[in-house]
Amino acid sequence: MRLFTPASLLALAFGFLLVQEGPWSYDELWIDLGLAGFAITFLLGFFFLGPESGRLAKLIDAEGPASPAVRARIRRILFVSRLDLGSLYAIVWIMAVKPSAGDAGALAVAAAIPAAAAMLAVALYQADGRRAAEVPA
Amino acid sequence: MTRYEFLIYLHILGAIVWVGVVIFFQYLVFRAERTGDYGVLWGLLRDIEWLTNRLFIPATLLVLATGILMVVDGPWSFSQLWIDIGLTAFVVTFALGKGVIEPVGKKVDVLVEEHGPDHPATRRQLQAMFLLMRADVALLVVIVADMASKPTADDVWTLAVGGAILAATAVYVALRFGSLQAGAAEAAPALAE
Repeated sequence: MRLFTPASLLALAFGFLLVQEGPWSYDELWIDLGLAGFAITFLLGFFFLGPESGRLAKLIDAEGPASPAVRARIRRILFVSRLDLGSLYAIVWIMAVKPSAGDAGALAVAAAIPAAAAMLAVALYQADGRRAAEVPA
Repeated sequence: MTRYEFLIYLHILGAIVWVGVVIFFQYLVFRAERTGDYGVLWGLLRDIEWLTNRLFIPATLLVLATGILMVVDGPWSFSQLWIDIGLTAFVVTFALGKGVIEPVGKKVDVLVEEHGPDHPATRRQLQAMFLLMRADVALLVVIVADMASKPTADDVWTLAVGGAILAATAVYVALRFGSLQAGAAEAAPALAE
């Protein structure tokens, strides 16, 4: 709340101002994709990552950092934050490349980035789960 | 999608990682300083040391390499002022990191081993270390502004503002170092006893 939310709102606000001020318009595909990506990452942070971090902190206070419930929640929060990271990489790609509807290659990369991040997040989640199963509670 | 666009993506991503992590750590340091817990500050330093070779240096080299490739590939040239400013500032921040911050970090390691993180001499070195990192943040902010605004020699106000930020940072660092050294001088007789 002290850093990520203000920074993301600053990025959004200055993005709007750049559209107002610059040669852009809201019917450009890359701007719409950027706004959609922003909405996804903001809502993920606001409705899950932020509150879940708070719940996790309370659970750690109650049960200690090594409890199975805490470890499971940490794995879940890491999984979601890795998905979030994938969408952020995709937003940066879209902002840098500014693809239009005709830029099939660039749009394919924009879709591939979060897909690859999701696959990696699933693989790491499963690996973390296997490691957690080996460690005694 | 062009090669140049791919390079600019990697350049921006590298810059985000580099600048973002540095600023993020400063937030954590500021928070830890307010609690006065030098054990936590020492832990943060160890995290920064761990990340330096695994994250910071690769990210900075990615930024440099893609920047140079964009000049070669794109409509820019090395005689443009904003590119020269960017390259110079890069050299300064790299030299600050390798030549100043890293040795201070090594001194902190030795002091923590000998006296622990709460000893006055260790605290002063930790404070010095984080002060230098704040100077580095100011330099990075100026680099980002330079890259975004691409000033030429005619953009007097832009150049003046960037210069003023760096000058103010230098004065702040000098004054704070002065007070850290004064603290060290005062403490030396007490520690000797």
